[in-house]
Amino acid sequence: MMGIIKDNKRTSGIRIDSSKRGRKIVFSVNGRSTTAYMGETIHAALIAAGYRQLHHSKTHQSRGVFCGMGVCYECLVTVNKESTQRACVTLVEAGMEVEIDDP
Amino acid sequence: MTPDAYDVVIIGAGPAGIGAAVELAEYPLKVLLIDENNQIGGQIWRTPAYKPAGRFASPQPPALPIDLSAAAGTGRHNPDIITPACVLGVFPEKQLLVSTAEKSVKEIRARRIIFATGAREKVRPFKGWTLPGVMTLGAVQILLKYYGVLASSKILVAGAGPLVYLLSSQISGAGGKVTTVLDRSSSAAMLNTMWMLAGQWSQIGQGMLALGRLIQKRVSIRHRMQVVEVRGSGRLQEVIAVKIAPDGTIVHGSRKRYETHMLACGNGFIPNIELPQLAGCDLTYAEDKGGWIVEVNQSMETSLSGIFAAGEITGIAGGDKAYIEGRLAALSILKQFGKLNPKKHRIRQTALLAKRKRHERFGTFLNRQWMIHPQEWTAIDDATIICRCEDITMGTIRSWIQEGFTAAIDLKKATRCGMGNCQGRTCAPLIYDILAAYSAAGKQGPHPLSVRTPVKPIPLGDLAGLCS
Repeated sequence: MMGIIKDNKRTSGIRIDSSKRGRKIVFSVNGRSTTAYMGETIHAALIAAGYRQLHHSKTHQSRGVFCGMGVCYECLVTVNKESTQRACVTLVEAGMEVEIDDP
Repeated sequence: MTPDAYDVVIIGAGPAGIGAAVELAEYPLKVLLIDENNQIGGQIWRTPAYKPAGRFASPQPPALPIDLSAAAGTGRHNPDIITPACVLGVFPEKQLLVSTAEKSVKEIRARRIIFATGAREKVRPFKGWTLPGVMTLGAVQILLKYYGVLASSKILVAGAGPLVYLLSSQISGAGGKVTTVLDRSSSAAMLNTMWMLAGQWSQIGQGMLALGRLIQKRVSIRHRMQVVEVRGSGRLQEVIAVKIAPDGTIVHGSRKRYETHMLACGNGFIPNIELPQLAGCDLTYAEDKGGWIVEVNQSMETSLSGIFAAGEITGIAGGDKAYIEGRLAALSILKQFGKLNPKKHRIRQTALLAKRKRHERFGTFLNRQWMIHPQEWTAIDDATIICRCEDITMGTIRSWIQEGFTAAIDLKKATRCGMGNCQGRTCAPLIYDILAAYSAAGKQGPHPLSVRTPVKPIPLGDLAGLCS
């Protein structure tokens, strides 16, 4: 549970030990199968999986979750082919196809 | 298409909106509660998406005063609830344009409107603050509190106010490591805050405990430290901070470097005034209330008849004050509708106003702690991005100010700052502070930047549904 993914590009977040979460589901991030739990937002699932950069700014700079509450539009991702969705206010679903800008 | 009609529409389901809904639920009125999040409760009272294990019990939100989500069959007059939904516009006859999760936009008519739109976090910008791995205190807290996700195993926490300590304690309690706390305020100010928290603010009243836990865990707490730069390639790798003297200047030779992959930072809160501003409510600027706020009378009614405002948008002071104001607004509406006689109304209003005053005093105290010295604004490095959506730097903004620009609207026209996806929610308040720091009088312009419908971006296709 407390394992940290050793990967140069990613610094994992950690799902803390807990007695109860929503149903375990699988969604995809740029085609890669990723675990999440029902009730989580896309941003929580992405951070837990170690993703930090989610999109590029106008001048192609790396951006990721900043405000986490729907204000800043820095966590924009493509969800099921629909672009410019805020990951922090969108719930993750089984089979959802999320696309982020790779670093 | 016939618009839905309600006696009262409450926009925002945090403590203020819920306070209003609780009072209104005593009477057979048609009430609608709208919130942009997936659940009601706001950032304080939302129900977590997981149940924490025993040792991680402290960040649990308090029990709701009423179970609003169990809308049916309780014998009370519960409101209709639409979440997630976004109010895109407010029009003169109290019509609202609401975008819902079904990707549709609909018109809703209200006899009374209560704006309870809450607040967002403020961060004093520093070079590199746009790097992934830099988040607000609230963002890290929401991940932990509602989703049980530690943003990283090691986190550096920086900024001012009680949330710095509360969050640090929560990270620590959840098994994460707070590498360092960089507190912008002095140690004396911190102790004052903690002392006041103990008796004043139930939501963050755990502040004393929080500090105790950090001391126990030997977390290094450094005072008067301000983050001035973060570095990293594609993501955060190191944080650079300096010590700030009481006059706002940087203490020579105080530069320190900290390695971290996650920085949580925050310097207070900004009221979400966009919708009441769009409706035409009078606003006023009060630095010790968090900036631009909505003007209300003791009934919580704005300058527009039948339109009310409650909570952080009338002055930043926390959830307890917001809950009281929500109830005050509802009581006034009940009186206007003839459901509550004037005498009963007066008794209940007087009691609530007294409580509100106490919380307001506390709010003023906090907002003063969060105030950033003009010198800290003018010292922001030229390469620092101010408008994150349009990538407009401090250098660009400064050069226009040096050309003689003194109004936010002129800077917006010249640079496009505030014209991106977030519609200036992040940068506009920063630009007001920067402008004030550069003007000798330090005074605000006559208005905040204007707001237009739709107040948040939506796909054109969703709007098209209105015409069908």
